[in-house]
Amino acid sequence: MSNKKWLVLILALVMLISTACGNKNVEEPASVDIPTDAGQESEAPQKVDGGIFIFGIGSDPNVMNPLYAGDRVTMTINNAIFAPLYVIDEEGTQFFLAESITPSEDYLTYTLKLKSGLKWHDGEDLTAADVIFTLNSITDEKQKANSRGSFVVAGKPVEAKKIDDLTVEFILPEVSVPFMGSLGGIRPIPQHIFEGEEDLAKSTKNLEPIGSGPFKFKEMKSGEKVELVRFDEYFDGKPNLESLVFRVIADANASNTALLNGELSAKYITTAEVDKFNEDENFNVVLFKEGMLNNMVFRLTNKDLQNEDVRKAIAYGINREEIITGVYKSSEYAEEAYSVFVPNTQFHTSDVEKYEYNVEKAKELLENAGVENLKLRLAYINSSKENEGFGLIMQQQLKEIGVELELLPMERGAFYDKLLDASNTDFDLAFNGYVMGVEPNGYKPLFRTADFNNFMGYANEKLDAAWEEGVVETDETKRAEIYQTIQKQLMDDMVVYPIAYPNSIVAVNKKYGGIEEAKLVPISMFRDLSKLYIME
Amino acid sequence: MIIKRMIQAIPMMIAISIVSFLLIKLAPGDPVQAYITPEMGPTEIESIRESMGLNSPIHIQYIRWLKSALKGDLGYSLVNHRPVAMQIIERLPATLGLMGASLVISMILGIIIGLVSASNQNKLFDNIATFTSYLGISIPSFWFAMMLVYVLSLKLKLLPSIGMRTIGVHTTWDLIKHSIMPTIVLSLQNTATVTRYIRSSTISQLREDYVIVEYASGASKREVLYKYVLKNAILPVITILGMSLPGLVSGAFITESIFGWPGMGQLGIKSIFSYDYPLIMAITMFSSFILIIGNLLSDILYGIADPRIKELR
Repeated sequence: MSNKKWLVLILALVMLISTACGNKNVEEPASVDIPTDAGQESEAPQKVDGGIFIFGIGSDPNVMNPLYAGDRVTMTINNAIFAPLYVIDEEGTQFFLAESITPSEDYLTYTLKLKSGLKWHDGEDLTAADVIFTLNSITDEKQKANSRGSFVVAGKPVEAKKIDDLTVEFILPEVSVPFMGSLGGIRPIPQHIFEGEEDLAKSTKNLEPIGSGPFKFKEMKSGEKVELVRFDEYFDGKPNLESLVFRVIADANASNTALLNGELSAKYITTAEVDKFNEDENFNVVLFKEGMLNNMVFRLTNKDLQNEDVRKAIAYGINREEIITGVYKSSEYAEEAYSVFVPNTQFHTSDVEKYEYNVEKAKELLENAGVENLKLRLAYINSSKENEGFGLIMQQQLKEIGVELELLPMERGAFYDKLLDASNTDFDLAFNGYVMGVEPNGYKPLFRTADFNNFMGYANEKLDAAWEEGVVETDETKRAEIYQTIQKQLMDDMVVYPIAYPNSIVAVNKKYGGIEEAKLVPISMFRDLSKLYIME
Repeated sequence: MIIKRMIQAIPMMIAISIVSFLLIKLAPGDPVQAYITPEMGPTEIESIRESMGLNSPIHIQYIRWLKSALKGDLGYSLVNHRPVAMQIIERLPATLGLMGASLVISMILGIIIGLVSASNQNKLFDNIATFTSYLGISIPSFWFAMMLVYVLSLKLKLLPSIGMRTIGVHTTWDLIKHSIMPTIVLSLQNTATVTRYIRSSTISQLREDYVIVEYASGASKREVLYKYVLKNAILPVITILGMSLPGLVSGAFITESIFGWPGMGQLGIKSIFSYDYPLIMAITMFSSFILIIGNLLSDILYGIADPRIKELR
C-alpha cells in the first residue's frame, strides 16, 4: 500500500503549491500593473501625479553616453536621461536646452543661446562650457564618437567658442547647411564629470550617467532593468511620472504577453497584431510615421541590370499596391513610396516618375533591350517577415513579364557583409530599408559615385555635383529645387525601387495619457517623456 | 586520480577555445556593424576595426586573447565597453539559482516517480508516468514555456510572465513566483530523463538474486525496496547528474530568453547577435568548464558510491 501513500503525498504537494499560489494572489496581484477592475467605470479617470511607465527593451543598453549610442535601446534610454539642444522636424524647430540658434549672414558662424537656470541631475549648472566640452569630445579623433563625421566640415573640425556662460559660437571652416540640424541633435554631457577621462567610451562614469533630461538614472540591473526617476528640476517643469523602467525582454512573444499582462506599458506591435489590441479595451493603438523607406536596390554589377530599360521594365512590372495590401494589410499601415526620400525629409516630393504598374510597357522595354529569359537573384534578411512577403509577391508579379526571381534569404550578418560590398556578385537585387532623417543631405552617401555606402554601384557625376551644391546652398527655394531635381533624376535612373513608407504601430495601455504631447517619434518611441502621465 | 583528470581537462579547454574562436571569426558579420553610420567612410570604419584589434591575423588575435585570459583578464565587451568578467559575475547568480533549483527538483521528482513506477510496473501510475516522461522528453521547451505563460499568466493571472522581480517589489515571495515557471520548464526534460533511468534500473535490480533472497528471508516489499534496491538503483543518477549539467546550461539559454530571466543565457544570446566575441568566448569557456566539471564530478561520485569502479581504474 506504500505506493498509494506516495500518490497521496504527491497530490497533496501539488494541491498545496497551487493553493499557495492562488491564495497569495488574492492578497497581492501578480503584477503592480494589472489594470484595475472595471468597477470604477462610472468615474472618469483623472490625471494623477506620479506612477511608473514601463518600456520593454530587447537587451541591456550599451554605453549610456550619447556620444556612443547607436542602437535603439541605448538611444531610447538616452532620450530620457540626456536632453538635446533642439530638434528640427517637419513642423519646424523645437527648442529643448537651447533657447535660440542663429546663423550669421555668411552662414559660417552659428550662435547658440542656452536657456538660463539649466541643471545637471547632480545639481550642477549646465553652461556653455559643457556644450563646448561635448563638441570637442565629439570632434576629438581619439574618442571615436559616433557623430564625428557631422562636425567635421571640409576635413576640419567645427570650432566652438565661449561668448558667455550661456552663449556659444560655432565657427565652420566652410558653409554647411546640414550643420544646424546636426548641432541640434547634440545631447550635452557634463564636463565636471568627464573632464580628464582618457577613454570616454570605457569610463565607469557611464554606468551612472548624469544628464539633463526629464529623468535621472537610479539603478541598472544587468539583464533585468534600468530604472530612472523624475528630475524635479527639469527645465520644462517637473515630469508627471514618478519613474520610468526599461525592462529587458529579449523574446518578442514574451514581450507581447507582458504587455497584455500589464507588465509593460507600451510596445511596438505588428500589423498582424493590430486587431487583437484594437479589440482589447485596455489598449490604445497609435500609428505614427517611422520615417523609413523600404526599398529594393539594383546591383549594377549585373550586366543586364546595367541597361536602364531593364531596370525600368522591372519597376513597371511590380504592382506596389498589391504588395502593400499583401504585406501591410492596407495603406493605413504603410504608404506607397515613390521617392527615395521619406515624406518627413525636407523637400520631399512625389512629383517623380511613379512607375505605375504596366505589364505591356514592361514587356516592351525588355524587348527593346533585347533581354530574354532574365533570371535574377534577390537577397534579403531571412528573419524579416516583411521582406519575405515582398519577395514572394514580386516573384509572382515579375513572372508575368518573363523575369524569374530566385529568392535568397540570408542571415543578417551575412546579408549586410555582402550588401555593403558593392563589388559582391552573389545577388542582383536586394531589399533594404533606411531611416535618414529630416535633412536631405543625409541621403548623399547612398548615391554619391564610389561612396562606400553606395552599394548599388551607381555613378552619376551630374548628381554628385548637385549633392555638393545642396550642402552650401543657403537659399531655401534654391535648395528645394536642387533636392527635387535629385529625387526626379534618381527615379529616372531607377537604381532604387521605393516600395513603402511603413508606419509604426504602438499599443499603449489605456491608463496613460499625454501621448500626443509626448509625441511619438521613430527609435525612442516618445520624444518628450516628461509629458506622459497616468490616469486613475 | 582527480588531479590527473584535472590536468587532462586543460588541453581540452584549449582545444575548445581554439575551435570556438575560429568559428566566431568565420561567421559572417563583425561587431563593427553596430557602429557604422552613413556619415562614416571606409577609413573611419577601418580605424574602429583597428582599435578593436580586429585587423590582425586570426592566430595573433587568438594568442592575444589566450594570454590575457590566462592572466584572468577576459577583456572588454566590444559593444558596451564594460569588462566581460564583471558582466558574467553579475549574471551568474541568476543562472546558477535557476539551474540549481531545477537540478534539485528534477532529481527528487525523478527518483520518486521512477521508484513508484518501477514498483508498480505496468499499472496505472506506471503507465501515466511513462507516458508523461516520454512527453517530457519530446516536448520542445519553448513551446511548453509559451503554454505555461498562456495558461498561468494570461488566462489565470496567477504568475508574472517575465523577469525575476516585479518592479518596486522586493519580497522573497515575489522572487519565488517569478521563478516557478522557468524552473518548471528547465526541470521538465531532466525530470523525465531521471524518471526513466530510475525506473529501468530499479526494475532490473528487482530481478536480481539478492532481492529474491531478501523476500525469501521474510522482508516486506517496502523494506526490500528502500533498504536494498534503492541504494543500487540510485547509482545511475549520479552519472545523470553530471550528464545533465550541459543540458541545463543549454536549456537555461532558451528558458532565460523566453522568461526574460537575467542570467548568463540571455547575455550569451545577446553577445552572439552582436558579434561580441570577448563575451562569446568567456561564456563558451564557462559552459565548457561546467561540462568538464560535471563529468569529473560524476566520475568521482560514482567512485564513492560504488568502490568497485574505483578499483577497476
